[in-house]
Amino acid sequence: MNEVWVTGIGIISSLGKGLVIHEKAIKEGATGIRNFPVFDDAETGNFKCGIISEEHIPQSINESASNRANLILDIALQEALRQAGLKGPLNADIYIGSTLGNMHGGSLYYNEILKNNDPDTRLLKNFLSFSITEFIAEKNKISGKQYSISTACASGNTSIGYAFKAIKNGLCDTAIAGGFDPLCPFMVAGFNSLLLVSKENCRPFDIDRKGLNPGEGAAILILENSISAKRRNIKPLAKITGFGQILEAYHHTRANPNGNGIKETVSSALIDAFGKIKPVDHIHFHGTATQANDTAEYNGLNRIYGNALKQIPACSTKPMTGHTFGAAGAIAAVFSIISVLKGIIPATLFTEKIDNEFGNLNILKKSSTGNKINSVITTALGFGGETSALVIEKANNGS
Amino acid sequence: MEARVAVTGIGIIINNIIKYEQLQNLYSPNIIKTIHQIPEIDSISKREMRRLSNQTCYALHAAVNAYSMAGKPDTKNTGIFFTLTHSSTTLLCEFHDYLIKFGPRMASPNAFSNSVTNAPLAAVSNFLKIKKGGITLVSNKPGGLDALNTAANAILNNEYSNCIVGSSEEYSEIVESAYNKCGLYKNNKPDYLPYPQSKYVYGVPISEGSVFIMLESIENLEFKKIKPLCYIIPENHISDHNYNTIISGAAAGPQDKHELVQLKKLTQNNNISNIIFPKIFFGESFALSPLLSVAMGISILNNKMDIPQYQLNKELGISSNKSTKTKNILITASTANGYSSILKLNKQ
Repeated sequence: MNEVWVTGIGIISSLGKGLVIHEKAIKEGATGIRNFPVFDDAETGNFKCGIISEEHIPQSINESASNRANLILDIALQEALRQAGLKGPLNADIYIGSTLGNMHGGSLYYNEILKNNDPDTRLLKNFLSFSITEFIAEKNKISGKQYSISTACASGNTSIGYAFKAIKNGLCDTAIAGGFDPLCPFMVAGFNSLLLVSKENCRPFDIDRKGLNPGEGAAILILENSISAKRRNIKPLAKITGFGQILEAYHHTRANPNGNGIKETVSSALIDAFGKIKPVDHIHFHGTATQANDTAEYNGLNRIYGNALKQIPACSTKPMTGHTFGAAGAIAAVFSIISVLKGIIPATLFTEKIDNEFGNLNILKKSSTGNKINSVITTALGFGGETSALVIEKANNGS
Repeated sequence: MEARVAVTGIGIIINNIIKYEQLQNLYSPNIIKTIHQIPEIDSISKREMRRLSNQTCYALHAAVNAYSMAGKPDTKNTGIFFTLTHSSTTLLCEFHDYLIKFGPRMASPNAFSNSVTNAPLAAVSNFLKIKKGGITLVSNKPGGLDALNTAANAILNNEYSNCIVGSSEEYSEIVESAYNKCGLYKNNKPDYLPYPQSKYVYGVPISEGSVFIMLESIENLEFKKIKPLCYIIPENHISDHNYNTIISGAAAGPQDKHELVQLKKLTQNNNISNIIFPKIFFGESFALSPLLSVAMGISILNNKMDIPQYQLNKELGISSNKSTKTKNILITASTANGYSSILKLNKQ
């Protein structure tokens, strides 16, 4: 039977570079969040951010304004291709999610205009997210269709979902799927203006949660049709078995607090995977630690599982990496694959007292190992009513 | 027979055209211009429209018209696919202005939330209550065709019974000056054909607007007894190269060398009577351009628009458009680095 296998993974975030580092970080309950001067004002300009170490990207945010996204996406892609035993020239479709592209390059370009200087057009070279997709295709000699997908903070999850559907429907045999976003002052200011950013470490589902910590990162999955992967003698790391997506049509930034959108999305993904709604072994929430998101997500899953939700260990890893926007859904997918491969449930760091309204929520203060995890559902929400969910399962005869 | 989906509605706003029936006006001289007034939309107040970007307003206008022309179908099983090249530059600049002058505390939440890339899709989804699913593709020139191909395949794979597919681009001086600095812009319509009568190649003016197209499954159509405007055959299902007309994405810019390679191959291997370069009529509108090409193709297939007359370069194998009746049109679009998409229109 034709399945969609994950045969390669690449990831970079504030936790470090590579799958092994991220597995270690989950086990240890590490965080990559630190104080960072996003704006010049010493009093108001510092934010808790998940910024990639200078060890991996030596240039500052301003220095890499025109190509930071290219750098981080390519790092993730190289690891994924190596693991999958693939290299160019390669025929694969590309599905990459991003909210920003190299927006900071555009910001600096505009700043020069405001100062009546002649701006450098090189700052705009990779401003738009499709140019980064074109860049990795050209650099790695990948031919095939290219899709730069933007569904706000659900972009990474949606891109993997669309790649999964493309393979399932026979539109391609191999797909490169994932998401990226570099840290950008524009984005920090934007979310701050909506009162969604916390100056403390974020605390998903906490009764005193104050919002998100901005972050940056990239994650890529190599997805393959199982039949063509078997021909290459490659074993799967995991399988993608279901995808659901809904537009809530409720509000241009907020999710519906009753959780109806997430309920429909997750139900759709579960039916896609299993033919019916049934419990999974683990839930990886989007869990941004904003009031609206966490309420909507909890209510959605609670409406599906009710009291049975207590039996399903769940997590949000935003306190580890920060909210990486376009990369968030893809990074969550990688963490979910680590869960099915290694039986690890990540901790939800910094959450001290779970909100009373989340009575059936089962999150951990410390990570737990040695669990039997055959299936994970990972969710993502974004502005404009975007909601999406993936079902990831342990592969039979996997690596 | 090639797998295909039906087109049941089109909405459009470009230059001084605000509905599909006015497309013949594209042939008027000095037509390429920015949109001066956005028509009102029922159920959206002027106050609400002011909060939105022009890009979103154009999208709403075109989407509502396409939806209406299609008979206002039930949206329970409708998908939405949208494409653009960049989000609202006007609002992005407004947000930056406040950020730079007054710091992060005074940054405008409205400018931020309405300038995100998926804001137009969200507005259309919200207004028409389209909830089943959909995405925004951020793309260069082939974007409109990729969106149509993706939507058509989704219908053929029974994910949706119908889809609304659109694009919207907004003019701004910042975008114009950036392209000008890169040597891709000329401020009046070229007085020669873009392909190429002369060795000089200039850009065409930047325009703005929106097109939305309603696609429906053939089964749905038969059940509803609706007559389609035409049919779309997505790229991966094209097997019969029976088209005699090509609508090309050439714009007298750097992507043209790839378009020329593609056009030469197509004219050598097929019996082509007409090649149309619509950008000399509606300007360069990036991801929107292919949807405008499709709108033009649909109008030609339905005899609402003539095939334009001009001389063509001999390299392409034909010297002038013959204006013969056509039942099949191929739409093409390419980028400067050779990525391209195609799509076929068919009128039985």
